[in-house]
Amino acid sequence: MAEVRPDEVSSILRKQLSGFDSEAEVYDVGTVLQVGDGIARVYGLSKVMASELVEFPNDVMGMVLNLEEDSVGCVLFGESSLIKEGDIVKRTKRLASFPVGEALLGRVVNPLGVPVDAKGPVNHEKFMPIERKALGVIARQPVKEPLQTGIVSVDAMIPIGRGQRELIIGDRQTGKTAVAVDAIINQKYTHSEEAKAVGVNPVFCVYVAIGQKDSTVAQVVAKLEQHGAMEYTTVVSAPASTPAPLQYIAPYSGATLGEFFRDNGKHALVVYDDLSKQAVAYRELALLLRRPPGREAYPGDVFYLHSRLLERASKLNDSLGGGSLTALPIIETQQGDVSAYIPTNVISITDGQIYLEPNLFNAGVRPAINVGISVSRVGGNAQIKAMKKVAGSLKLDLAQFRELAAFAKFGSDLDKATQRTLAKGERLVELLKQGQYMPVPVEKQVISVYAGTQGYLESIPVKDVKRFEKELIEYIDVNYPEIFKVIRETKTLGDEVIVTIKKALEEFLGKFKK
Amino acid sequence: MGKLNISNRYAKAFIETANEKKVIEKVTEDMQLIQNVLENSRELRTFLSNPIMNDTKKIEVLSAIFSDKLCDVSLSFLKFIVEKKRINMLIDISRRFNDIRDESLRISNAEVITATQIDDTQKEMLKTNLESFTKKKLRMKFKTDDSIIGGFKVRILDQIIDATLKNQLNKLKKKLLEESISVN
Repeated sequence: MAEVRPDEVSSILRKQLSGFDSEAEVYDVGTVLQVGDGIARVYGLSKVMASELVEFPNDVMGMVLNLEEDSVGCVLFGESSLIKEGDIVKRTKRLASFPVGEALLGRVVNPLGVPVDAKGPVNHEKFMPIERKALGVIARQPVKEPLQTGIVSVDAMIPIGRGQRELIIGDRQTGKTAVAVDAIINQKYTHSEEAKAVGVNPVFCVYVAIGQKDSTVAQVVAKLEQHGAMEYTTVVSAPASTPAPLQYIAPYSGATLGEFFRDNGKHALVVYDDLSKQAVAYRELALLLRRPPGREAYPGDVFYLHSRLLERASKLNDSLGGGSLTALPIIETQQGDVSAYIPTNVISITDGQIYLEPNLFNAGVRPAINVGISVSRVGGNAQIKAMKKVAGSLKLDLAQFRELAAFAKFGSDLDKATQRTLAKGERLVELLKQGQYMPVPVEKQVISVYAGTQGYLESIPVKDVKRFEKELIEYIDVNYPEIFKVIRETKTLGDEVIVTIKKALEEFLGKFKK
Repeated sequence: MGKLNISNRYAKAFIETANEKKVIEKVTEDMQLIQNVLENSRELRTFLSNPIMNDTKKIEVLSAIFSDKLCDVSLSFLKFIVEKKRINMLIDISRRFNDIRDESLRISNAEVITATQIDDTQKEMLKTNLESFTKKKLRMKFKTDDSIIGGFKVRILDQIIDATLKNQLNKLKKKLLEESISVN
């Protein structure tokens, strides 16, 4: 039997106690005047700062939001039933902050940085304040590197650049989260040796879940784990069961972690899923703090709530390391109403939006992206040259198709040209369909889009388009692997490559028809 | 307008008039007396805030209580706030008056809690030390509370200087719980 000697125990205890100083502690205090609904009014705390963390009894933390003439309004990050009138409140002299560091990758934490995944404590590097002023003009440079989402319709027509803010908007059950999760999974490639060789820098991801069901968050985490995406991802979880103040600060916490990567010259992608729930949580807080309500009962500064968050997305200039923070906010609309308060606000803040429509979703067009009204204001700068070259006509073809499709419903006698445009459009729509969790590398996207826009699909029945695409990619992978290699490395589509692609396509077309 | 706002205005105005008439010392004493009396007598407080009692009655009662203790300036101030229908806020006004005076004279109240009674020399030492620490004159108030086990605790306005054994034990407990003890 193993023995523990008493002197061993006491030496360990002595070691633990060695760092303990027994000096008098000086702190500032206040008294709780009123408490309820997650809000406490405190008398005293005369030197407290706005958004400072304060300590209530029973280990409940709070954050100061209102500084008034004779009292201080605090929001509570814990149960308000644990606090009673007359309790002593202590200042911490620390602004609300979030632990940052590489150690957070692969973890699920709450908005205060406390792990909720039962994997033990997080060895963070340091704390950074969750509210930071966004960088100014001097520190930035234009967005120019692509952030590949692996979704063909996005990467081809609504390209997202590193440092951009692209809104994902749509009704419930239209696959908004799926687009974001696919984008995270597709970043796995950027962490490979292969990507390093062709000069693609790794992208670290943060997924902020606000006001969602715990089961949904668990599902997303499981999916990310299954695809090996948790290695470079942190999930900040503020599910529906957490108090409104935590849901309110969750996106800022996520942005802080993203900024840590950005400021160290790395690249980060932060998904805010979703900001409409955050606005609702903030409305709850603001009303309880008796701030005057405005349109849809949101407080007056709800625009600033989102603008200060999204403005933190940026591409740093090279003297600051050239890091980037890309933001993918998600907004849920009610019955497709994009002219409601929060959607219009966020649309105007972001650099473009991806519209998801239930009609398309139900018609089997998945991802249900309406490419007609989706835009990316950064545009072609965020695409590799090869993609820019082939995708140019794609958007045009689809626009023509939609215009004619509306007319074609009325008449049956159509001329040849119209029929051709319609046929091409149908095939392109089919080509852009894509399964969930199946991101496509950019070089393969280029080939598919090239085949679609150059009319190689004309003789293929619509139902066979997907099979054609799949087999085409396999065929090129086996017989002409140099095509993919050249696109990957040079990122351009030179004349020689186009000749090879044409050759390969014609060969394959002949084989496919047999 | 909030309570604080109103009492602030009356208190400041009264300080200014007292300064002009050069009776500020006497008036300060008066206001301290008024605050003490009101804090100790619930009856007087309810009487003054009772709307059924008319103003003449209130003035009569106030002068009966205070006439030989207060100076003329203070008495006329009392009459003035009765006329202005703010007599129900007399306690807030007197508190605010004393706070403002303390602030300008750099005096604070200090509440000292010790586990056992301490003698006068210790009290004097504590006072001089605290005064040099806070750079303010202190009005000391001593209390005992054995739940703090040992040491002392001082509260000056919103600041607490905590040198109690209880606090140190709590801190130690927190520290030990944070760092899980690892053998080797």
